[in-house]
Amino acid sequence: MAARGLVVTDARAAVDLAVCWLAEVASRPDPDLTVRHRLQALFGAWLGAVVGTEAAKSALTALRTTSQDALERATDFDAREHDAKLLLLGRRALREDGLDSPALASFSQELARVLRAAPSLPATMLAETRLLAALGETSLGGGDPPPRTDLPTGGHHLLTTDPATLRAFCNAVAGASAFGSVRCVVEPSDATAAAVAALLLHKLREYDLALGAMLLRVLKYLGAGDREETSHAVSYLLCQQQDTGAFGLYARELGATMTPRRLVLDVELPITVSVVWSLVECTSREPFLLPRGRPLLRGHPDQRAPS
Amino acid sequence: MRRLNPPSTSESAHRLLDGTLQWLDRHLDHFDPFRSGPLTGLCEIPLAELAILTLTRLRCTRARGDGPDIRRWLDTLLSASVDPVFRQRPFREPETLVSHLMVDSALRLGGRAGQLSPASVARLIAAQHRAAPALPPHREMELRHALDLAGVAHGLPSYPELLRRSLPASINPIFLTTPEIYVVTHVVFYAADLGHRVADVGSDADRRRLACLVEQLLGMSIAAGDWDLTAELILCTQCLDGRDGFAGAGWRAIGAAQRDDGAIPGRVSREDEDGNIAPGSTEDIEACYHATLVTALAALTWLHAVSW
Repeated sequence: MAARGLVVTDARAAVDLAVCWLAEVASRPDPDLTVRHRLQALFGAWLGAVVGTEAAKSALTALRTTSQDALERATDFDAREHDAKLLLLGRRALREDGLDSPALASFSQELARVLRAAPSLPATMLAETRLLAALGETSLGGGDPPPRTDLPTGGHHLLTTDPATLRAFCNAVAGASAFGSVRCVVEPSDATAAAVAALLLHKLREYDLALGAMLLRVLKYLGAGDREETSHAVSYLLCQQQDTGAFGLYARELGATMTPRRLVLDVELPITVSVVWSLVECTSREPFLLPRGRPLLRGHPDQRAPS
Repeated sequence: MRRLNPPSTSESAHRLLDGTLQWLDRHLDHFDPFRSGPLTGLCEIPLAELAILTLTRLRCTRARGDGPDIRRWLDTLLSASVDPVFRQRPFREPETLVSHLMVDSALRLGGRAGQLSPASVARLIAAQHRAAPALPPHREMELRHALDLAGVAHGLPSYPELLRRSLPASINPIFLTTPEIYVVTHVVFYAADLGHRVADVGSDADRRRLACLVEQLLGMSIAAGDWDLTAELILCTQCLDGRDGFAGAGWRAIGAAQRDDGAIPGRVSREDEDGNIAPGSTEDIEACYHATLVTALAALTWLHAVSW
């Protein structure tokens, strides 16, 4: 318990510093700062507010306003070019403070319409469905539960899976578990958790912080967040934070493949948000992105009781 | 050793063993320490590794099967060891002693005459006080294991004590370098006499902690496609009487990587994406021999335990 307490304290301090950096980056008058960058920074600040850091609360207020302004000014905004979850999370962050964006509202309504018209709901779209419900766009009470066959398959074979397939698996688990708000059992469960844990260590050692942070969250969504590998990963990630607050030490990539500004916007920004997300997940006992709910999986043994 | 026997895993291990032994048998000349001229540096190490595998073939009687004639392997070891320059080297350059002890132990177990006098070696050990800082704890453990195999008297610390000095109580595997991972595998090997006893690592809690670390490293090595480490870590799970975790996945992955000629690609081979290393060349043999040898070692030990 003492060790976990220390980890939580260190992680919260790291999140606080990271959110300060995100707010600073997103507030610069920069023509290269896109809607995607602003929504990522907004989501990062929202996550910081979950753990209650003062920096996050003030940053969140400012970023809500600047994000809304940016969306209104973006004449070429195309929702199809963005991650659906990011758009929905961004809209929710705005709505919580009484703000909104016509572009995001239009996207939400269109997505809800498509899902309502689908003959059955893919298990991996549960996160989007719940986010839409939180935005008041659709109801989870109707429709059939997602079919089990849509669940990703797990097991030790994940160890030799290519990165693209692995990312798809992670996204599927995040979606099917609605970011940990429902229990997601990927059979064989013990083998899957062990493989994900080993891949987490491996990817971090390879310095793939983006995929590593994703695997760290997936481990929690699988109900295996108490494994020792989680503390190893958090300990490692905390060592990868710059003095500025950004996560990731990419000096060797600078100059070889990109300019400093592109490094900040296209690498450090998304990775910082992803790591912040994972740190907040690791320090939170309860799901926070979406309220805990019953699994919607037909034939699932836990269907009767809340997870 | 307890039984570990998923049939598909055994089939994988059998296929791997057959191919790797045949490949090694075809390239026995690679292990001649004199092949590049006079003995220099630690050129005996490949021969010592061959000796370790020969020892294991002799000890794993239930898994021996129809492998290559072991007498050719013993002839290879003997041919080098009878050379006076080779025989005298550990007394002039004691850092080569471990290799010579392994060769001698394999020869004796194989019914050939050993070349080292246990009394002479014991006198050498007592006189040079081989220990840290000149000899790191894991090297001291390596020496102890070699001396024990050769039946040489010594006053070195126990395996649990040397293990405690070699590895910290808590290890974050993300931070381990590749050489450090090899330290972990080797100290487990020594503590378990290369899989012929359950590792003498101290308490059950110590064994569980080490087994957990080995399992994490095994998963990482499979994901990394490092077959050399994968094979060593599978052998470690055997040594620690560990649960059936990633070993099956490891066998399947190594099996998929095995070449048609039976070799297991080493790190250099895997990184040679342009195909600059010609199969069968000296460079190719050098790049593959270790991964091939440790795979054979792990497969032999595994099958020997499975057949109980």
